[in-house]
Amino acid sequence: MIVNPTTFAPAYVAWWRQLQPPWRTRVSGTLSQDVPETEDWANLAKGGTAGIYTVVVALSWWIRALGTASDTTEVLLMVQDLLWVLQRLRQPHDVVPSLKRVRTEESDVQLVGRGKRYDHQLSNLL
Amino acid sequence: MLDGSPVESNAQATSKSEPTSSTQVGDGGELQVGDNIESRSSLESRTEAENVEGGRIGATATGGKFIGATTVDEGEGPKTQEAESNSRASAASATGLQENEELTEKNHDGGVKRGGGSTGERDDIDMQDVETGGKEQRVDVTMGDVNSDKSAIEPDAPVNTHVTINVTKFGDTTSTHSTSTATTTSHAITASQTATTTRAAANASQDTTATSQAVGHPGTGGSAIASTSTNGVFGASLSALTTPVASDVGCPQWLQNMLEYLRQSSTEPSWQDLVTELVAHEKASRVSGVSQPLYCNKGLLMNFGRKCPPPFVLPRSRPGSKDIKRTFP
Repeated sequence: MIVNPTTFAPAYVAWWRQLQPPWRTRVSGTLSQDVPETEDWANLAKGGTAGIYTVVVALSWWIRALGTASDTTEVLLMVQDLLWVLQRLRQPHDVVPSLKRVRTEESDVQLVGRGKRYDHQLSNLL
Repeated sequence: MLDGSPVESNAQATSKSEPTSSTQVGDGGELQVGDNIESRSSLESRTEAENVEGGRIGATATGGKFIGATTVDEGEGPKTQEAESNSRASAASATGLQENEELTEKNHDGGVKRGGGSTGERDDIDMQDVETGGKEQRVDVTMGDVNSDKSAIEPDAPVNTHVTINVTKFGDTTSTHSTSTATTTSHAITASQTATTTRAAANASQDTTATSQAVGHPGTGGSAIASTSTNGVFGASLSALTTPVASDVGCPQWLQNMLEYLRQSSTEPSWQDLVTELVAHEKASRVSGVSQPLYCNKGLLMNFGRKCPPPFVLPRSRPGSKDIKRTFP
C-alpha cells in the first residue's frame, strides 16, 4: 500500500477527530483532554480488528510513509494523543451510583419500591 | 518514519585472510574477477559491492533501505592467511531480530571494518581507500559508481584494499527501526577463509566468509537489526526490541501476527507505548469479542439502563374489562 503523507495525514486527522466524543473538540481545533466524569468512551472502546486497532494500524502507515526530511511533529502529536486515549480506555470508568443507594438516603418510600422493581427487571435482562 | 534519529549500522567485519587462489586479494595486487564484495538486502534494499577486479572495484546499490557499512582493508601479508569473520549480532526486537552485528575481517596487517550509519531513503555506498601495498592508492567509489579505474591499482603490487561501504538511511539519524536487511558478503577474501560467525540471537547461518546482515525489516522476520545509536528525538534504541515485550504475550493471535509490523514502525518510545497499550486493550477485550465495547460488564449495562427512561409497561387490566378498549382503541 502506497501512502502519500501529504494527503493521508489530514485525512487521518479528520477521521480521528470524527471518532472523538463531542467534548474533545475545542473551538481552537485542538483536542481536549478534560475528561467528563460521565465519559465511558463507548465510541472508542472497541476491541478486535474493527476496533481501535484500525486507528493504530493506519497511524503506522502514516509513520512508515514519512520520508527522511519529513516533519514528524504532527504524527508524533497524533501518536501521543492516541496513546492518551488508549490509556483512558484502560482506566476503570466511574460507575454511576446505584439508584438503590441513592434512594436509601431519601425518605420517599414509593420511590424505593419502584427502584427495586426496576433494578429487578434489569437484573432479569442481564 | 518517526525516526529522525541517527541510525548506525555497526556491522563490522574483521577478517584475517590470506589469499590462496585467484580470488585472493593482496597477493599480487590483483583483485580477480568474481571477487565480490557484496552487500545485499533481502527485501527492499540490495546493495552490492562487486567486481573487484584488478583494482577495479565495483559497487552497486539499488534502492533500498538498510543500514550497513563496510570497510574492507586488505593488506599485504603472507601467503597463508586465515579468514576469520566475526559477526556479532545482538538480539533485536520482540520478534527476535538482531542488531549490532559486527563482522570483522582482518588481513594480516589490515582488516575489514564494517560499520556505519544510515541515512536517506536510498543507500549510499562509498567505497574508498583502495590502497596498494607500498603504493597506496585510493579509489573512491560512490553509489552507482560500479567501476573504478582498473589502473588505480598496480597489478603486481601487493594490495591493500581498503573498501568502505557506507550504507545510510534516514539521513541525519542514528537509529533504525530498520526496514530492510543488509547482507554484506565479501567474496574477495573468500577462498581459504574460514568464517566464524557469531550470532547472538538468530538462527540465520552465515556460511560466507564475511557476511554481515544488518538491519531487519518488517516481514523479514528473524533478520538482523543493526543499530547502535540511541540518540535523538526518535532515537530510541532498538535494544528495546531485542527482547520480546512481556506484555505482548497472550494477546489475540490476529494481533500477534501484526505486532512485529507495528513494533518496527518506529522506535519512538511513545509509539512503543502505544503498541503496548493496544495489546493491553485487545487482551482486555478478548472476551468481549470483535467490535464490542471493551468494558461491557454488568455494571456498565446497569448504568446504561439507569440512564434510559423506564421501559414502557402496559397497564394491567383484568381480562374483559373496558380498560383494554381504552388502552387499545
